[in-house]
Amino acid sequence: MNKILEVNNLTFAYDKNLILDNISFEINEGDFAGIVGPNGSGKSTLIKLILGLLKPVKGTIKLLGKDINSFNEWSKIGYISQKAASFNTSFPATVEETIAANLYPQIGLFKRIKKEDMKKVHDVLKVVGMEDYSKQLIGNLSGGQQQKVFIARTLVSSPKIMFLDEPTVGIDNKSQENFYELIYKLNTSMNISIVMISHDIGVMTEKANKVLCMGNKKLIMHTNPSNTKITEILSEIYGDKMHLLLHHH
Amino acid sequence: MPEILQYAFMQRAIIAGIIIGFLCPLIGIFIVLRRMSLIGDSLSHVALSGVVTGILLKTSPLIMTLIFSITAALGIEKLRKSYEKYAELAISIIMSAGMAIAVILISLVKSINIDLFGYLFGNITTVLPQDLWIIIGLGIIVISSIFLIYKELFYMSFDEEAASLAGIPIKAINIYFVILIAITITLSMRIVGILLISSLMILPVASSLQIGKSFKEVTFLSIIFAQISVILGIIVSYYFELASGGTIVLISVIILLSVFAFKSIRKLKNRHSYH
Ligand SMILES: Nc1ncnc2c1ncn2[C@@H]1O[C@H](COP(=O)(O)OP(=O)(O)OP(=O)(O)O)[C@@H](O)[C@H]1O
Ligand SMILES: [Mg+2]
Repeated sequence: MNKILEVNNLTFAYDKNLILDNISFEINEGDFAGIVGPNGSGKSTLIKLILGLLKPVKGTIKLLGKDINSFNEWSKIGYISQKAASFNTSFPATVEETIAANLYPQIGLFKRIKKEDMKKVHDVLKVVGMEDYSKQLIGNLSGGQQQKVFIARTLVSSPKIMFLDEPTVGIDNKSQENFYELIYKLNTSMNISIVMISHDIGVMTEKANKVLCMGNKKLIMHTNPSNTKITEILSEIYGDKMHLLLHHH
Repeated sequence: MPEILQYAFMQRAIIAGIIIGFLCPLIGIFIVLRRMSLIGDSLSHVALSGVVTGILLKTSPLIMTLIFSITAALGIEKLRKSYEKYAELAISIIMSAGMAIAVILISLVKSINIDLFGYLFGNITTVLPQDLWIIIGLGIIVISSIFLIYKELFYMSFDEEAASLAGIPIKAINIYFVILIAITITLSMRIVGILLISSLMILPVASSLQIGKSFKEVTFLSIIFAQISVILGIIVSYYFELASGGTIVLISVIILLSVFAFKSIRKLKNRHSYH
């Protein structure tokens, strides 16, 4: 199995506030990993460290076999942030323009976008089922549709792995299911590894083959846990508040 | 040839105006979308101190202003790093410094001369032949620079984090961009006036944001609106002997109001068509 992501003895603190204490885990090609943990346990922080947006105090992170300090194939890494749904909604960009933007670094400075590039854009719009919206302003779409456009934006540069930080916050239940189906399809039919922060017990039991449990500055990795095991893990994390939390968003 | 074009100074004013009508909206669109509107005001305050220095030293105010405003632009970029969470503070600090220096220098120029008023409010009769060559030369460089980094600026304005992750060299482009702003202000001040340049960067964009249906369209409309304002403004200010900057900006305001009116009429019509 190809290792897509390796995290070793990672420690991180905001100033003196220790958030992650010596954690290690790995993600293989084709994995669908869920990250769970209470609010403030450092889930988003972990992803930002992996993406190089924050610098660790100690430890190493390898993406696609390369240390992130010398890693330069960022186009192969997709990221959907926790706040994606709350971006500047009045920005005057169409769906097409938004997605094409992710091809810019590959096209290179000073060069213009070509026909083949636009074909790629339309192909990924089909994958996420948004082909009819290509000329719409991004701000005029619903939260769920916007989130699909952001998925398409990362897909257009053919990622190997995708990080999603609570991608369904603020999206209604029906669209959430839809959305998870889409992510699952990317995982199984396009072989994109998925690392997703989510409080949704359904996704964890049905789709994930790894559950990374965060809490008390530590991380515990469960590979191929049974459904009862996952339920057990989640109730341990969230305790009696589990149901509240699960139906919160 | 219409009478107005027979004068060499008017020809120069119109040519300079057309260049400025491209520069200001092209820069302005990214300033507005990145919520940096204050940077135009800030750099033009510094430009004023450059102009006065030029007048005092009896050298070209244009060249002096270029030096002052580019230095200030780089200063803003540097300061922004010290106040990451309060980016606009850097802009305000440079603005205050620029204004303070300008005020002191103006007090040194014993008699306030007419020339200074021209720089403050815009004066079409003052574009000298050598100024025009600088405006054309640097103007074309700035316009083509923006077209060359247009897609990167677009992505950065939309989502800086994603742009950075996708591998766009954010820092380098930021520095390049503020230098372009500084040059644009310097080139525009003769026609539009220091006090009103940032309005010409922002108003046409504000109008086109109301009706543009894509980023391309917004860019295109901003240029159209700016061109109308500048060219019409120069002509009107010639016939009525008005300060060109004020006239140009007032026309931009009228365009903005017309766009609002157009939008509400269209809305009313649509509402009727549903019944
Ligand atoms: N920029 C920051 N500066 C200082 N402390 C921070 C910063 N961002 C987060 N923290 C702290 O780090 C801890 C972990 O935050 P993080 O956002 O990673 O949590 P999370 O697990 O993603 O929570 P949630 O489920 O609410 O999204 C929190 O205690 C938070 O207060
Ligand atoms: Mg979080």
